[in-house]
Amino acid sequence: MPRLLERVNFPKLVTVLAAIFGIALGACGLTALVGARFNGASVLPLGIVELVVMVLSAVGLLISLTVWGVASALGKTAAGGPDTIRLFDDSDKTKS
Amino acid sequence: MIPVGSHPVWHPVFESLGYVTGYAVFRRLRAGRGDVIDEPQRWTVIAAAAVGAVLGSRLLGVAEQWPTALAALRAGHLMALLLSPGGKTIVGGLLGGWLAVEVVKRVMDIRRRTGDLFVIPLCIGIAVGRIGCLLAGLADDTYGKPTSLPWAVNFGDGVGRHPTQLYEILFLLALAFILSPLMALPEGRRFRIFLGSYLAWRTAIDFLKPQPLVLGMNLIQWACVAGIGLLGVLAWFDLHSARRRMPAHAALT
Repeated sequence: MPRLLERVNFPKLVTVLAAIFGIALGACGLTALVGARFNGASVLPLGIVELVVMVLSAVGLLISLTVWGVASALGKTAAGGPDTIRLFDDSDKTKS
Repeated sequence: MIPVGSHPVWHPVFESLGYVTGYAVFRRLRAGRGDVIDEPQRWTVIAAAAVGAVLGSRLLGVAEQWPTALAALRAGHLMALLLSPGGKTIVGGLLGGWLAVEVVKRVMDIRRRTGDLFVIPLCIGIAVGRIGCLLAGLADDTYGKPTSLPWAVNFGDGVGRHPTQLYEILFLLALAFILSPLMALPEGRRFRIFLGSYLAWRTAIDFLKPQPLVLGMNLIQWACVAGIGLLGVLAWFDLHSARRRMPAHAALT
């Protein structure tokens, strides 16, 4: 799991998915409004495409964030944690 | 009256162009002037900003249209709430992105100020996105109140309105010029001046928009006031800590 952090660039993936989700979210609402005002005959297919993009990017975003969080946590644990405090430093004993 | 009409299809096009342009400007600035953090940390900051911005913009966007949102909630129309038109706001995006970045920086122990590199890209990106808001016309919630001024725009209903989107584009271009990297500022100051200026601008310009009011202002204006208050508290803390450091520094010299 920690190796996943090296293989996948989670920050870039999350950024792209968040941007796509944001655009689809706004576009979908706008198309729904236009559809409601003009009976939706000409904009309905576009609305469906936007809805599919919105749902897929939202699911992808959630999965990416979860996997990134879990991989980061496991990576920290595997590395012993950067903030581990050694109460008894016995490195001097080896010198004598 | 200047005829513009309402073309909502252009909104996502210009919104996407805004992201692309903002990112291109960011890359150019980062390559030219360097960065205070390394690339993996920068991308983590960008990811936090993006996720926080999406959440913040949607939450405040839906809250801004609270009568519609409340009616949809009461009727159990979650789909209508989810797809409510417009439903995103730059103020929510900026505040959400800013808070998310601060949280992630705290978790990752990043102590440098990271927002300065975003200032010019944000100004340019938002300005490009606002062209889409202008072209979307009545389908977007960013149009102004009726006016008889010679530069009033007609979004297709025969009513002359304030082109508030154009006002904002001009404001952002002026702000980008004032806060250009040519102007020397301490680390982090550029972003805070940008954020404070934009929030103050939105507090003022939103009086020209026909939005539902709560105690005399719309929810975006209240969010702006809260953001300005938070910036004020942070500035006070900075000043306080700088004053505390000063005697110790003076004693050493």
